[in-house]
Amino acid sequence: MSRFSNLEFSANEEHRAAEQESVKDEVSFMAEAQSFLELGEFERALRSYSKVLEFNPQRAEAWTGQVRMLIELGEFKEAKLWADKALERFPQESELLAAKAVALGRMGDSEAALAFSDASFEERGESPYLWLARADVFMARKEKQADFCLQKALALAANNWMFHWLAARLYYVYRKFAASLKIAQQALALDAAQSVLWFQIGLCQEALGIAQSRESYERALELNPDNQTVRAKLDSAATPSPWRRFHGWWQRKFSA
Amino acid sequence: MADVSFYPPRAPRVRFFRELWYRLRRLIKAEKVEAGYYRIQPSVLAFLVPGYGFLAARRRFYAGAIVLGWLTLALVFLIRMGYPEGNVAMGLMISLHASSAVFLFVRTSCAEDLSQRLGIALLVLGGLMVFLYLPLIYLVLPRFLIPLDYEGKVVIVRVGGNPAQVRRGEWVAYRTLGTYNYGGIRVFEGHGLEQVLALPGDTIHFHKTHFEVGQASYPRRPYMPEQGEWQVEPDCWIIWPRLERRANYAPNMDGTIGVVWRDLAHVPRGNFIGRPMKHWFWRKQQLL
Repeated sequence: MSRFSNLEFSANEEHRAAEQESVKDEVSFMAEAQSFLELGEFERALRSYSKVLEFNPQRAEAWTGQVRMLIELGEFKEAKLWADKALERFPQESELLAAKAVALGRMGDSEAALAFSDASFEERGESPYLWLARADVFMARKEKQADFCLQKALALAANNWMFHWLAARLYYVYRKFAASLKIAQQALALDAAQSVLWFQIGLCQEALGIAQSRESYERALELNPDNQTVRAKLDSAATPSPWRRFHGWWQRKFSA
Repeated sequence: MADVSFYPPRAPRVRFFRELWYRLRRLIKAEKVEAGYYRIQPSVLAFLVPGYGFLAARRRFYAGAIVLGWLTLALVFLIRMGYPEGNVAMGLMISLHASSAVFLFVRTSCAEDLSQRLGIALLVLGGLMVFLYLPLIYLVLPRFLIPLDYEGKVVIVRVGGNPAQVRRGEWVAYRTLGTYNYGGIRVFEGHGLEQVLALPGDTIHFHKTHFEVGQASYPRRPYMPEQGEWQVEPDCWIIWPRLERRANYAPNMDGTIGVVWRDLAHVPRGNFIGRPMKHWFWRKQQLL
């Protein structure tokens, strides 16, 4: 070995990272995906679930995780496609059926969404995600049962901040900002050290025109300084987004 | 480790229209519309939506082309509103809309006779004009925008706004109501686009070469008094109108014309329509 080899820091680090990657197995990628999900980094979580499947394509939770991440990333058509592919392998997987129901509901195919949600309950008892997915479907259909389903999901995961956060995200997607804020605050009572909760609260406050949104974003960034989404939100408050600039331009040009 | 890729297909980075489409589908419950749940007659939709006639007959390409053409022409109409090109674009929009509706109506009516087909075409065209496009042009659009002619240029005026916030020297569009008869002079009703010279409560001092409002002085306008002063009434502006002489102008009627002009210069604030936009698309709307 060269006596200068230890001085080549970056090459060494890359090598070490590659080594670590090869040491990781299905279980560690699954744990990594879960931790990325908890950090709100859906893109990275999606990649980790893919890695799990490279090790073991029979992990139904990883397929479900991928579909859920695609939904969180707003890629509903792709989520539906991927859910179809996964259902070829696991036609009875209840959470996969529920995830497909969510994708269909968000795409506006509410009848099919409800049918898949019904099917998900027929397969295996109940889980918080099944109720959350059902709430999503009912919200897409603008039906009142959504709140009941959401409460059911939260009752099943009473001490789980993540399900509260997912419920808050759900309300936010359907533009029920006050309800979203309320649930995000409940989640915060369960675990105040989660950056994503502060971020969710900031988003709701901003949507509701509450001035403290900036403070919430700052708190979120404090807890997770690597979160680029929060950083971008804070920056956009200082430098307006292209849309805001366009809106301003439009106002200036077309105002009398 | 397996060789197969387990990474899912990804959506394009920009998917604004896709998201808009999903939202619209959820809003109108598109699924039920597609399943015929609401039972909207295709003929009604063909009459209301350009290109739907072809879509109902499963000619998707023609339907798409009609919609695209119609939208392009609508954009041209908006950009060149008030100019001949805008009117041509509107005419073509009506033609495109009518052709798709006529296509469906002729097919569903099974009209074989040429005169029957012509009759259907004329009825559809007339119906579209009377029930859709003329109300759109003369009733709906003027609630938001009015194109006004100003010295050969078209100026787009945004309708609305608070007349109490109008400042001295600001350009406003206003309505000249009623018809005035002053001996042989008749002033037609219409729209004016002028500067507000004085606000309620202001005093205007007239001189031979200029007039003064407060501390500011301006050059004299045609037919303005050469001396004296006016106290502007409450809820009224002084706007010196720009009138166009049409016919039968006799030189010895200058005195009467002056009286008409001065009368028209008192504009009630209630006649306010709106303010000209600074820009209309990339066209700068400079009035001076």
